[in-house]
Amino acid sequence: MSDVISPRLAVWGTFDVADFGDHLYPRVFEQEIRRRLPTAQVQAFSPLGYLRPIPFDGGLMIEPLGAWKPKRLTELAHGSDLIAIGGGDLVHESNDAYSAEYGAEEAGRLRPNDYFIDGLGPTLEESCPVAWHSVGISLEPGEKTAERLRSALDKRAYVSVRDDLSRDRLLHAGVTRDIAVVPDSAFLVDRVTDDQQIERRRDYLRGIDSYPSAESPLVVQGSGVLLPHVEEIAETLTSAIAEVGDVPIVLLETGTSHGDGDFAEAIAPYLRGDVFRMPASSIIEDIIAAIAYSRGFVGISLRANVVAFARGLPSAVLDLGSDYSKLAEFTKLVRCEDALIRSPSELLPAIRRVLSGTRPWNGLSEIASRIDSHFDELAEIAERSASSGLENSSSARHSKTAAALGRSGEHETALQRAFEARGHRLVEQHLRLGREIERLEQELAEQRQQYEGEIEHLGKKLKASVEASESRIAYLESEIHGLRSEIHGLRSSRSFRYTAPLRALFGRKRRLPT
Amino acid sequence: MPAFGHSEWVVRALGALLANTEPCYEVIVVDDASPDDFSGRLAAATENVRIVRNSRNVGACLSYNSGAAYARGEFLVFLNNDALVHAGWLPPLLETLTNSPKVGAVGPRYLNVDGSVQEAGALLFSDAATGAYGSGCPDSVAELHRPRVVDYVSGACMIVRRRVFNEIGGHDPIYTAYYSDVDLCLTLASHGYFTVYEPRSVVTHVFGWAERHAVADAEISRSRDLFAERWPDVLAARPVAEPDSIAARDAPLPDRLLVVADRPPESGSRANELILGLARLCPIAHVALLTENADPKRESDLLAAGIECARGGLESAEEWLMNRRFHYDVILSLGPRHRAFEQMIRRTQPQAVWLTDLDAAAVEGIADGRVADELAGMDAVLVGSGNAQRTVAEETTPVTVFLVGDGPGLEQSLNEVLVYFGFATTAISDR
Repeated sequence: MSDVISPRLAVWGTFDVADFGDHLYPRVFEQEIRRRLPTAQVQAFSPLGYLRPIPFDGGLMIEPLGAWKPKRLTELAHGSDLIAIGGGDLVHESNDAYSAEYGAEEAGRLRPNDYFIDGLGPTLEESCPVAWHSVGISLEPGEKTAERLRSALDKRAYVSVRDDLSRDRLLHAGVTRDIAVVPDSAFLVDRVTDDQQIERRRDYLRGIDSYPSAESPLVVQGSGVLLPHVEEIAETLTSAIAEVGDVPIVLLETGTSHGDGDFAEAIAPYLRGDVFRMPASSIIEDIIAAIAYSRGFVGISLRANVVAFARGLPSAVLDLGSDYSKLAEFTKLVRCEDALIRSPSELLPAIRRVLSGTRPWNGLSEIASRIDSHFDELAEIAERSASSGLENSSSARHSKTAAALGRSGEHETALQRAFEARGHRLVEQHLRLGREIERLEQELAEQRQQYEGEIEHLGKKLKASVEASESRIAYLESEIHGLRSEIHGLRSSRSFRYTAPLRALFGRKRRLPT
Repeated sequence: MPAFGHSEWVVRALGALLANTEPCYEVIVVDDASPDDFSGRLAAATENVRIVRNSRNVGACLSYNSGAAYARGEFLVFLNNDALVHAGWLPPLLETLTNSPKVGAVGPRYLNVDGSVQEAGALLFSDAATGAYGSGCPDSVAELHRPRVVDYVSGACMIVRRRVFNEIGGHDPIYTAYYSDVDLCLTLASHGYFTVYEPRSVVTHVFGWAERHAVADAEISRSRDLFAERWPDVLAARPVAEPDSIAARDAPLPDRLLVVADRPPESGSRANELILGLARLCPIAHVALLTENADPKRESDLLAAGIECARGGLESAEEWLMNRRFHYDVILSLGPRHRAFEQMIRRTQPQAVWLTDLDAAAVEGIADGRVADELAGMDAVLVGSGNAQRTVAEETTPVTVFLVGDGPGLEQSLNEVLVYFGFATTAISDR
């Protein structure tokens, strides 16, 4: 068994930032790689990693990439058989773009942009392959960045981007190699959660009054860029909800880095009816649960929209004033371009559509199969890389394989015999149970017999008592009857009738005052 | 730490925590809508404690989840406000959790205020009643210092991996307080994670102080009914009720192995390596050692490895075995055969498979026929060398012979023997 190849995979990204989407990636990545390579070791890396733990990481231990240094790159290369960089918008013009997440000074020291674009560099990538894992290119790269991309991606083992627009931007930047387009791995959200888990989180949210107990709500999420449109959004939500009756609203925050809390704070006073607010400390399972049990989602978060789609729920994509190309690409992918709201006039029809419960395009399996092919590719690269690290001699490999097969055969035989031994034990236990049941049945029969005797005795006694009472009643009734006859005979006698005047006189005299 | 009023208790529990815990950790107290100015008084009396306030009283279970949602560490410790941790309580819990990715939760040895044992791992019975192993016993009872896999540990002090806690959805809010710990551990088990009792960690639990005031009997009964409805299959595999605590103690351990020897083996001996190897290879098996002669010093090492030690001559062995009828899958005899023990064991464990380990001297005896008797009635023999294997194979009747060589290969060979007899060894369970 020690000869089984256990590839070591690393996934790099901004998993140390409090953002819902960022934290789905490493989970889906690990799950999908382990499905393909059960013995693989998977480790997530981020600029600060566990040095800056956050509730959002859900307890996943993320290794720090640390400050960008050639020595560190060598360490990282030696520790992995494959490094996957992604997903999300990781390509920027400079490291300054990460100032909001890490602070300007730290961004300059950590150099996340360099890690994510340059990877290990062409020399180290010869021994440790690096792949781009569904990376998003959010802007047209400038000339300097374009040159870096051309150089870095040219020797990269495998390059995949999130959407057609990202690929077009790379092509426009002069990248000439093959580029796969792989949808965001958040589409596989159902593979990293189970119903029991999500139900528990929903019940928890209900228990702390953050989620309605009866009606399925409309989940609403926004970010700082939507603040100028808060009143319009609130008004539209109110009027659209008024058309369909009472629908509670749940205000959701998908992270702390984009001003979701500010949006929730700003819109709450304008909303009417039942409004619930998810706790600021929500973990990703809470966010998934909130969406999963809703009637639909309205918001700007790409991954929250993806989760709604994956759960078969309608959504409206709030892209007011932001013009995020990734949102437009998402609606194109899921064949629901009318879900994209880019002007206030589009708000009402889009929200009406969500409230009407229109189910999204039934294409999840098609999207999932594209993502599956992508993970197949990553797994193959990792396995190849890990194998090449072992002894290359084919004879040694064959003899090892033969030995491993031999041992497997022995193990199988051993297991068969072991199960036979287990079978004997079970038979013994059944026999023991059988004897115990027999004893209890006998005990029960004895007790039943004893109680039946007692019941019979009591019954007879009771019956005799009833009979005695009945005969006594009969005797007393005959006595009454006899006495009645006697009274009747007395009243009917001549002497009784002849003495009537005397008895009347005597009665009157008795009533006179003395 | 969930709390409902009584800030003095929280301060006391936090005092014990601060005095007995090495940094670094974070403390989150969930104020479950206390009627008094609990949060204010607690904030005034403590430093660096995050106080999360529920808008209304929701009970301990939801408060655990609320607090956990704010946590940032790799591990979560759920601690009651009436649980006072002792010095060195945390490292053994962490060590147990980090040594195996299969361990989902770990609990300490709970003591009563008078120093007696309150719980050395919790017990579960078929009617959903729960019990505490070792309850009321003196803390000096050696058996209560033995780590083992359990059905659950009481939630007064329980450590779990945060990732795993989230993976199962946290505490089930269907329970307000009671049975949420049992349910949590069984949910972990249903996801492939074990719960372990770790006696090196000690906590004094002023049992029931909070619960008596907060939860009515009706609530306990409701929780028990819910629990029974949720876990019928698990309960069906549990013993009927107290006092069958041995059956309940070992119920979560599907594989059971009894080693019989003259005395606890010497450190460094082959017998010792075999016993410790068994415990290491089968973390979810119950391994017990029955010896005629005692050696308390050696026993403490074996107990620490999770091996139950029974001893004290034939009379107590008889009672010990009668309490464990039909309990073991495999009996391993080390050293010369003990006919008296053997009769007792065959009577009480007729279902078990018998193995014997023959050392070099015993194998030499085979040549002149003296050891032929030694192998009568045995299902398999372990030998330490290829020569010995051949000798036994030539001289004796159809007994399965396993070569379990001394040294680094011992554990691997032993693993194959255990696989042969259907044990879930680490090599299998980690796959």
